[in-house]
Amino acid sequence: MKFKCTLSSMGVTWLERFVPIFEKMGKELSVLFTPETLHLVQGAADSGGLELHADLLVKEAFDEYRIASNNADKIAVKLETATLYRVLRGLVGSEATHVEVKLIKRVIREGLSLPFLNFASTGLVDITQDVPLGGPLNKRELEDLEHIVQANVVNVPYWLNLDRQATEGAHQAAERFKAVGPRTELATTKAGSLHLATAKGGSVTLGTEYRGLPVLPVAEDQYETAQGGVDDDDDAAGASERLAEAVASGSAALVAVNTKQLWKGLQGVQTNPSNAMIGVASNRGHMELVFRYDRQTVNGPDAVGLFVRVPAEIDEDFDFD
Amino acid sequence: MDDWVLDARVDQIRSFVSVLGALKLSKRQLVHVSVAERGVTVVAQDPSKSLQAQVNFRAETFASYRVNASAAGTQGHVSGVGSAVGTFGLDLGSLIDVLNAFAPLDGECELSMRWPDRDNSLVLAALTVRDAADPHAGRPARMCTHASIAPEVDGWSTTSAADAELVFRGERNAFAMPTTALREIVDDLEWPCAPMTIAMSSHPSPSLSFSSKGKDTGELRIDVDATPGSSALTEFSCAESGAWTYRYRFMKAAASSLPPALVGPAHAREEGGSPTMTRVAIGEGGVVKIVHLVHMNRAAHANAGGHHHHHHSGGYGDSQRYGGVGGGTRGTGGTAGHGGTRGGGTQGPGSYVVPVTFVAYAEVEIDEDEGYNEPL
Repeated sequence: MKFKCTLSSMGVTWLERFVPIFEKMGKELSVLFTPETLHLVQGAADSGGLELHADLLVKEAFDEYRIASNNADKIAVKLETATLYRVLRGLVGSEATHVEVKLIKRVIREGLSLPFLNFASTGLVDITQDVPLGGPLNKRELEDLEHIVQANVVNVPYWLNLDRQATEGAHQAAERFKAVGPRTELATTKAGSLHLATAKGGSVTLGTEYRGLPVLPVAEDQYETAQGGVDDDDDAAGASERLAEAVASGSAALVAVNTKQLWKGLQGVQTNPSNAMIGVASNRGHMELVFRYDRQTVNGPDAVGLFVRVPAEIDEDFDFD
Repeated sequence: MDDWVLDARVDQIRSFVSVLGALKLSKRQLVHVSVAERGVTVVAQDPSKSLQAQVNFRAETFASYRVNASAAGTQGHVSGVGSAVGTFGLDLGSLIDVLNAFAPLDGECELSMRWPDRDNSLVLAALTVRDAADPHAGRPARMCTHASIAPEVDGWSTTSAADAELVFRGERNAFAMPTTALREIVDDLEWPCAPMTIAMSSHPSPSLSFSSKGKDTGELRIDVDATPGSSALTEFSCAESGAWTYRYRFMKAAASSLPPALVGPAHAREEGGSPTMTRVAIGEGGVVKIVHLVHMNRAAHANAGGHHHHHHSGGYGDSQRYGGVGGGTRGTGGTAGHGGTRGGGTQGPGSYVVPVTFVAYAEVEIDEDEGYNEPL
């Protein structure tokens, strides 16, 4: 098993952007290195219910990259999120221009050697830092990570495209929702509407409705056809009526999620994305968020992405807290 | 939509929430809302029934305000607050939680507030429309935030609320000072952990003092310069010299519950703006009435990032409002207290003063019975 690479300054910047999000979710994160892509991954156990991963194409983040293992040249390790973030901030702070990353084993004492991820940088000052690891993970654990990474974007029939401002608005809304209800109903329609609604004990309801969001793929977009039948009533009652109508006619994809988890997932907006896509799985088992960085990448819009999966709440009385 | 009794629009959402927050006297606070032609009054009462807080949002406070008495039907009800065409009770915590969801929209759009819907609920909504950043779509992005709050009926029925209201009458003494000055005095008197006394006299010279005497700490006393021409007070009248004592918790709630951002610094007068003023009146039985004349428009500007002064992008309309309110605030010192329940009742249209009124009963005969006067 061999891993040695040189992070580009872009790569450092990307990692420094993503790792804080993972740090807010949980203490540990897994890093999966494959010949083409670097994945930062947190499963439900690490993040408190969400599954999320950031994907970076190797050519977007590394100047040099050498990897070899018996497991199809893939390597996975587990790290403490806070330690990794500290190292990354150090790299940014020392204006590191050349960062070598290696998987190493150090002899701690006679008969005991432990694995580390070693960062050796040159910049204002030259720094060598070791990040202690769990792992390398075995084949089964690595497959679990791959399962999370590959699960996204397959079961979602269509997406709503939220621009930066709408994404921030949704994050703020979810933050306020926390004070009102533990459970939020989320619905999307092919007419480009997103509904978020919560309630407290039947006496208080609070909701936000977005209309006119672009639908992807474009072939699924029914904004124009839907507009024909809908009067342009911007009434408050209108919002809940429109949702009820869409649910009744089966044109809404509705899922109930934990308000706090939704808010945590929307924290991805702090990575400074260009836009975010939101979609409900066809089996209504979860909703997904994909943060995109279209005009910020060198190797095309798909070079970098942050993916968050928020599970559906199964039982009305089930409380995640 | 003529079946709404109340159909109002709020354009200063953050200030609106902040002012309502001052009504929170107990953990689970019910408030009683009265809708009248002249405005909306929200009343909260402490569980002890000895402290009451009230906010009066007059019709001019709202960006638009419509009351339809004919839609009130059987809900119509005359209360002590005025000629209310409708009244309902709400859980204040829920109201504030929900309004906070609208706060980020402050300055971007108006909050529509209507009552009642089919379930007798208060219905809130705000709508923003902007051009989509994505040109491929070419359609406007619309966001509607909406909420409904069902009325609370338990604990405070609409009929008993009016009867239970604390009554202030027979004003004897009064003084007025900047809100932040009163707040500082009350905060300073927290330390002895004891009831707070307000003493006023007119002989030999006008005097005003606040004091608090703890069993272990001795007496802490703050004298305010009440001589004619004093810069500390804008009004002083004392028909009956004496001292009245109030529960500290009441005074704290009355003097400190408005967020500082809303009342501004105490000594802004030199800079041309008038600070938020508070008028304290003592009436029959030592009942105290504390009226803060909150300037909503200015607070909205403070929230917009600057501080309590004119130099904002608001333009002509705003400076007009400033002019109106500056005059109004100076005037209210004299007009607020004369027996009426509305502190700023004589404000003309164009001014945006929101009176926040606290009424508290005095502690009765505590000197001997409770031992606050023990020798140290």
